[in-house]
Amino acid sequence: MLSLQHTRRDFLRSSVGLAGLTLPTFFKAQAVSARKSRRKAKSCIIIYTWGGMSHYESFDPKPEAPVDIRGEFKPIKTATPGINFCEHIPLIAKHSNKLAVVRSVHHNVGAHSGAVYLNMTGHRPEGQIKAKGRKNWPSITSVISHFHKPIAGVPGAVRMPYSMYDNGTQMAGEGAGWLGSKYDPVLMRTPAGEPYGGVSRFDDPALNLKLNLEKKRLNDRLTLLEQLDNGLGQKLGSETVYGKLDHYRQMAADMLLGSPVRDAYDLEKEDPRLRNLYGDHIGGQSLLLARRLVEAGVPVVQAVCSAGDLAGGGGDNWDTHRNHFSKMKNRLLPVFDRAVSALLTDLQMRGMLDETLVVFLTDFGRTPKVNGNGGRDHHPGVYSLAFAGGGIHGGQVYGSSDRKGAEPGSDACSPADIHATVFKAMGIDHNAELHDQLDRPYRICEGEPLPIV
Amino acid sequence: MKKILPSILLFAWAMLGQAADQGVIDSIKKKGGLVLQLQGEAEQWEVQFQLGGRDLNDAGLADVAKLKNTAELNLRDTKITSAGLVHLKGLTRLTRLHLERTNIDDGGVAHLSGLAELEYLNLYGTKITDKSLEHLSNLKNLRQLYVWQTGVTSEGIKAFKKAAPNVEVVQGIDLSRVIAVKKEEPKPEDDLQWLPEGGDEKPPAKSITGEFTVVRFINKRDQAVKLYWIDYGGKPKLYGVIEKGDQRRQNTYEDAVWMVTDEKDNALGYFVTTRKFARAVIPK
Repeated sequence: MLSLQHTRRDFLRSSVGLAGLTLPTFFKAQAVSARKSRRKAKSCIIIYTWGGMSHYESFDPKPEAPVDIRGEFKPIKTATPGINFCEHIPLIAKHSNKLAVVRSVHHNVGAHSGAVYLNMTGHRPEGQIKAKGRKNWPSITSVISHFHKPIAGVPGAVRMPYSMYDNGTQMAGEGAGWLGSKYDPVLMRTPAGEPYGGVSRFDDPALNLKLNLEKKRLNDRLTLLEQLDNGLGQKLGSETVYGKLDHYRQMAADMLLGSPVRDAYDLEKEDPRLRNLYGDHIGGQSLLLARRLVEAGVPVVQAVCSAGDLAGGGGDNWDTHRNHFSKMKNRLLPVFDRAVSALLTDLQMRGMLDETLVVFLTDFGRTPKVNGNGGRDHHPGVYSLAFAGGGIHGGQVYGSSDRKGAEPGSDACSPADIHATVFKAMGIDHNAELHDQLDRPYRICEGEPLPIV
Repeated sequence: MKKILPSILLFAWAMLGQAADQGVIDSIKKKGGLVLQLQGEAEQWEVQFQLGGRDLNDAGLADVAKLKNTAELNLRDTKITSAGLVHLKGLTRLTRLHLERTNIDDGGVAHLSGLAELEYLNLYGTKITDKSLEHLSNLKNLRQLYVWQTGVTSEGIKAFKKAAPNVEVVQGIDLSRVIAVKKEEPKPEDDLQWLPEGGDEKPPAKSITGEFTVVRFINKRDQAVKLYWIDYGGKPKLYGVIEKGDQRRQNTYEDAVWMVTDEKDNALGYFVTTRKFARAVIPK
């Protein structure tokens, strides 16, 4: 259906101008314009806790449950009366007035590969899904970038600090899929901070496009372009060749050749005290970089807060099948708590929070029962996510899990509903159709927005 | 016909206005500004200079201010000064104004006291003081005011809130009070056993995983060595080179197998980690 608003907007943007406007349309347009539109978020930061973050040890503690379910940790009060979090995210608890926590998300995909795909694309995996597959649904980052007017030298979407892998296999769902390579998020390596313990794959081919922005390499444009080209085995050096660079390389070149994005990438330009606030860890520095990129005009940034490869549960990732409590308490939650709270503080005091939507995503929750190895296993039956900023009403919890935290207790919702909520906050119609490379139409989202925007 | 005539005049007026605006919009774009039409609004513009238009100065701002239906204006990081803000007096439809990280002071903020529609005003990182707040206390629609890293004091905000209780004033945090988390460098509690290549005791074929731990490798050989982690499938993965006499602090997990080779990848020996923070001395 064509709405009046569309007619009006399209007219104003068209080259036909006023001559093509009939009086009745003009009057109708006038009537519509009197309605004040809701503000929408300009940009989005997605924080992905790779591996499946336990809802018990984050946003949905269950102190009333039997000891073998509730685990070792206690709940703490947050800044919002009646809402409790896990005791090991005390700094985030102080920001509860900015957070809308959703405690009733669920699905039934128990493996990481399918669960990442579902949470990143909002669609169930069908058949064989492969990383970089052009039959995949596009990631939420790609869809958001599609709906933003591109700015020269500014990538439409960025993800960092590496891709998600499970035992050496790259996960599907982080790319643009059938939207085409133009909408693939640019992968950046966060240039500072102690890395997560475990295995992270910095040798991802996408990172070899010389996006590592080392200062000494930026001295002159020609050197840079040669650098760009070395990765792809062509001789380069003139404007005409530059013009032939494909979209992705052209984007990389534009970014490197001087733009707010290049400045944003240089974390050395940030106040060292503020860097301390985020923590000297790749998790914290990634969120700092996310803020700087958003400030530089990037519409959507995704940060993976975990080691890049789950490596059978080894390393600092949220796939805590063994030694769950010590890993959470000592390695994962402190970084998460400090980095996230710093991001919310920083966005708030810069006046950016109301236009920046912060979304927490993960694969699934963890099992109610603690297993024989002191761990919790995969549990898509119910888990918690959260939103902040970008027109979200903070200080609330949407939905609940049951008494044991095993399944939704009220207001059950799906990853697709989470995506619809993001689209609504970003001013994107969640029923919109997009077309693949063969011009086949797809409805971008099968969910409905939660009433928290 | 009589009823239609005013409408036609209105229509003609709109046409002229639109054409005039187009000239201003073009000049804004020439200065590196971005002009976006706000959704659902007939003629309300959002104008941004903070990305590609940071060279904007006071003279340029005079041109920008000709776009009377500007509702949102972002001048962050531009070269405007207090004197230039006089041009904003005519932009009475402004609802959001970004002046953060510019050179403005109280004198500039005085020019904003007539912007009755203003809901959002960002002044962080400027030279303003409590005096600026006095200029803003009559703005009935103001809801959000940002004054982090300025001369505005808590006392000033308290007084301002009495006059303007509906305004959320965001003062931000004092960065000088941020405490860096000191990394607790663990003291080695144990020495890992050196299992020489070809020796009696063989290392496991691959790593398994357990608790996080840290190992400090110390190279006492006369030459550099290479350090490989034997992964969960039994394959070696190069982690780095330790020069002669050097040390390397390595995050790892218990029951990990580490192989030490010479520079030509000839295996010299192995370490198997334990749960304890440990030293691993590579012998001469």
